[in-house]
Amino acid sequence: MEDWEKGKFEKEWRDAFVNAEDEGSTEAAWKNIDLQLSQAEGKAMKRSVIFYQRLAAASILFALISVAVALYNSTIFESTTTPSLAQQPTQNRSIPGDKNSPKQPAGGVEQSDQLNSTTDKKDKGRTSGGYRRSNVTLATSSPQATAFAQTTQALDERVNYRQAVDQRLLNYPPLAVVESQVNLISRYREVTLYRQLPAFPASYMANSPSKKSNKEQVWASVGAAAGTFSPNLSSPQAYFSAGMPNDIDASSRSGYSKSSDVGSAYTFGFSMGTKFSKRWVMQGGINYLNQSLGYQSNLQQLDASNQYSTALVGRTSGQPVKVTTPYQISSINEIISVPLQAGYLIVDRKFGFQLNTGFATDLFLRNSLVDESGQLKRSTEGAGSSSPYRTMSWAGLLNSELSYRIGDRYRVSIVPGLRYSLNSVFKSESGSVSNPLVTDVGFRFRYIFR
Amino acid sequence: MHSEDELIKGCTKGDRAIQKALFDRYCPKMKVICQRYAKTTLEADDILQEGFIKVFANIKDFRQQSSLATWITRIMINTALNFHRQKLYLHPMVEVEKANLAEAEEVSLSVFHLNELVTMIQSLPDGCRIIFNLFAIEGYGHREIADMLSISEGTSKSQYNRAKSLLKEKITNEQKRYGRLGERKV
Repeated sequence: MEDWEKGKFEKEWRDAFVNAEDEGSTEAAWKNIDLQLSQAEGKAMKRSVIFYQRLAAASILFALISVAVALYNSTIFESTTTPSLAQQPTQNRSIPGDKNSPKQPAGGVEQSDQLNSTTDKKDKGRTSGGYRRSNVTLATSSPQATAFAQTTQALDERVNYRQAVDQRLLNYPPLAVVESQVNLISRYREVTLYRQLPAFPASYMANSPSKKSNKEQVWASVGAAAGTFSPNLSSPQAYFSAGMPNDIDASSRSGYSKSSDVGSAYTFGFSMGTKFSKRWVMQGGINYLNQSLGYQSNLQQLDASNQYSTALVGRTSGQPVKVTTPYQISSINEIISVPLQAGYLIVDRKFGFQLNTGFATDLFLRNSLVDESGQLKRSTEGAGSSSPYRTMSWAGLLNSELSYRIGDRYRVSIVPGLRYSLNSVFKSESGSVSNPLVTDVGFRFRYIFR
Repeated sequence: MHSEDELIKGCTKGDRAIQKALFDRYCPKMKVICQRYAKTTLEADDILQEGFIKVFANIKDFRQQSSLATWITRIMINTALNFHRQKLYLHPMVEVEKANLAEAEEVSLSVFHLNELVTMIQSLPDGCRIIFNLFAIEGYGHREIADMLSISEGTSKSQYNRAKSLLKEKITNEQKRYGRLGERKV
């Protein structure tokens, strides 16, 4: 204060008002204040009711999505656990001594005889009682024929079972339709729930100009996620034809690769986001994906340095192969993904709940086949014209984000979600189809710029 | 009679009876403050009601670093300033020509009723009235006023001098009209 400027004039005025009071009626003023306080209390209660209703709606939606995914997974596993005879290469449908060998034609019909005629000379010690190295011909009187007949019966029962499963599936609507119906239901459920809110007077429905809104407009975040990886392979078991030109020693056994039903996946990456309306946000970024699936294989391939390395059926790139004792392989796909998602803020407070959906562009980096015992050298397949893997593919994304704001600048989130490849990771000419489904739970740390 | 702590606790809980008690205790004084800043009685009532709504909404954050009366007064003044901010935005205050500050004859405000003094202040232009209240009665300096109202210090000084000149003129006219000096008006 600049007291030296204040003289007698100012002092007179200040003294005149120092304890001044107006004793007039204040009832009218209090009535208005009372009314406004009551309205404010009603709005607070309404906000609280709407908050819990939206939270309930979001929980129901998330539960429906989780159930739909669980149903979808169980359907896929049911259809892929039984071997698909139709998917086996026609030239070599049997593995002698293997219980899962397909049915042999009765009467010892020879097949692929010309391929195996040269092999008789190599391992004569293995032939016995009319057994031919073609692996598809057996004399009906041999012990092997009896064993195969028994195996055949078991396989027939399995085929019949699979056909019965297929028939049951046909009786139910396709899962894709169920999923879309779930999405439709969830979308319209939210609208229906909103319309079922109790009717409040118009004054309560209007947004108060003093209502505080979340000021987060632009942010950057880092995150990581881990979960399960379902390959959804068209042929989880694949067979390698013995006697093919690159079969090194043309052993009597045929090569095969059998995948596990479920693998593991992890992701980490960076993203940025912005809020472009009161409830809608847009997020994009870049992620590193690592998807690992276990295989059992009995193939080894000879690489350029003349060393034996891991191999799977259909992924030998024409390298010489040999059949060996089965061993466990981890097939690891490494991908760079560029996701783009739109999100809807269901709860936009210190606690936040957001639903995100979008798509990602996946750039395939490489596939590594790693011997779990560590004995064999790993083989690596990159992208390119000679690779069976598609260089670029697209995936659909769906996740929810439960978050908590720390201070003014930070927000931490838990992000459970789904990722489904919209096209196969393999090229169409490779003969294999795989549309992986990843379900994971992630953790995200966000820095809010403004 | 409720103590200050009881009033604060009751209002924080939303007890309507305690809120009424607080209103009854501080309303008479706040009403005068609002009348000083408003142009009309209606405007003063609006500022008063809005001010008390803010008091009840924010009383849970009152840290008792000053008395409750001082805190409420500050809220009322800020409410009044917000009320006029839009007007001041549309009609910004500018520096005015230096008013004739020739010393008038000695005046004594004790001859005037409180309502008359309020009426004199209300008759001032908006900018002059606010700056006069802030400088002469609330005790703010011109630099502080300039920061509060986003004006220059020079504008604050010139507007105040104009207010002072107008008030002195009114006081002189009233005194001449009634021909009494040193006697309180009935």
